[in-house]
Amino acid sequence: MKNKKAQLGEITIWIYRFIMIIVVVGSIIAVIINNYSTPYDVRPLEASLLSSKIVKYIQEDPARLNSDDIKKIVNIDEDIFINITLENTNVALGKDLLNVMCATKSQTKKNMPYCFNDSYPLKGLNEKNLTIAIAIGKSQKNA
Amino acid sequence: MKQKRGDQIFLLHSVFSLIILVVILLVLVSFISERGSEKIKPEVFAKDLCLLTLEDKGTITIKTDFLVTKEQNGFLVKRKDSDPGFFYPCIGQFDAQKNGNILTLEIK
Repeated sequence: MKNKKAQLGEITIWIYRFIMIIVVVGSIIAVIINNYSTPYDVRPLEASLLSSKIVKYIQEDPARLNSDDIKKIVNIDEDIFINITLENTNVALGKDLLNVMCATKSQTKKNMPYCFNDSYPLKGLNEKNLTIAIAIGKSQKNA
Repeated sequence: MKQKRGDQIFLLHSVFSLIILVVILLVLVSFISERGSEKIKPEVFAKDLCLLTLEDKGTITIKTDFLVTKEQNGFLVKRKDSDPGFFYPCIGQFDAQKNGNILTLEIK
């Protein structure tokens, strides 16, 4: 004759075992997915390198602050927006929508561009400030 | 006298714990070996190449076993021909040429 209390205990132990398996396997899968599915976001590095390249480029010859010359070093066909300001001169290139998204700080974080703003004093130009704003999209490849 | 039922339950418990332990160990070993094998992923390599194109004007030579092709203004990096690879568009202006396993980047 089977002991009913013992049977109940056995069922409880099996439920506990199943829950344990689900928790262990689920956690392992979650950690692996989290590690392998997040792309390596290089946009902060891209923005920083691009801004220093633009600063050096303009520093060599301030007359290069025009869209034609900037296009020689930057591929503006990509998902990018650049705004460069030096005193009264302003050069804006690329996709305006990215700039708007940066300004409005859209709630949809998934497709948000990376927004970069910095200001650099230019040597030999009475330390005039060169302001650079860069917005890089490419969110599907980076975030 | 030995109790058979007790023995059975003890055996089940041990087998169950052993299975969990083996699964955890296998996952950990495969995870660590993957991380520790220093294999660079095509994604990382393509992005690093794009970062290089933002360096100062000049020529850079890189030795690589990856299959690298310049497409539009980005890099398509594959491990093998059958591999779909990873494409990353670059924002720098450059030219790229591959001879054997030597990749030459001319940054503008």
